Amino acid sequence: MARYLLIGYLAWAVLFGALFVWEGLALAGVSGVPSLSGVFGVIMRHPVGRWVLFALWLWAGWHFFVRGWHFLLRA
Amino acid sequence: MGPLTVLAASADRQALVPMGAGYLVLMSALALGLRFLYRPRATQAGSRRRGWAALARHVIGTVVGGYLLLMAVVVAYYYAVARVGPGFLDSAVTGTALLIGLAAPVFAAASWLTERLRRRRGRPACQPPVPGDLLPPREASTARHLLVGYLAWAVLFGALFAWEGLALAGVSGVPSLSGVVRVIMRYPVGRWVLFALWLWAGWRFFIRRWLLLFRA
Repeated sequence: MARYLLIGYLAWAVLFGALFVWEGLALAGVSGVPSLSGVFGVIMRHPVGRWVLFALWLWAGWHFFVRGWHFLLRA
Repeated sequence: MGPLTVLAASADRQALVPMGAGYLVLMSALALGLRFLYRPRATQAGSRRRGWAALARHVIGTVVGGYLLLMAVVVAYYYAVARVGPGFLDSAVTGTALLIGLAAPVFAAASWLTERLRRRRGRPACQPPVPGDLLPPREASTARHLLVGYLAWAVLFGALFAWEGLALAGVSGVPSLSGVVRVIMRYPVGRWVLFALWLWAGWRFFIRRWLLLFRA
């Protein structure tokens, strides 16, 4: 079970690694690779896009930093 | 299996629906972004107001709109999907407001520092990324390259959501992202790093690029 979980954790590491590598390629100026902020920038041209992305960011912060603490404190 | 683990697993399964919704929203946003990419510019750069006041108005509009949207989703989730607990809505309303309150002075200080450093270096303001110019007009072949780049982002995010979906569905040996983050946050340094990353992402996406755009 521990080994299965280790593979699961490694998969997360690989996925986030791929995200960072792709972003790195974009920031290095590789042609045809848009950076994440470039992609989000296009989405954020429209107010609704900005609200959606801000809501996602805020939700992530709440979910990981506030809600978890609340849960643990209650327990 | 302890009661905490059971509660966490149950909460994880309930999170499958909003996660799926989040995936759809993100993919729709990417698709809309692609559509904007190929659409001619709607606004002229010169017509946009500049300066700190304009930036403040823009940021406040984004914060208020995003906060209200999130609250609407949270309330809909609570009443339509799962009544996860009496403190859920309170935590959502006050917790997110607390986060905004914590992030605001950090963002303000970072903005002030960025501008101060730029002036001290005496550099001319770099070309602001005007919305219509975020991706300037390109040849068809370059646009196709960019489309591939966009699709690669969609695939990467799709893989993240798929893996998280497997975890939330209870597939053995697949830890959820929350589980991974919980492990990291057992340690103070882990909490600081993740919180700093979260703040940095917010600063980069919601303030910095607009700071350049609204630079007087």
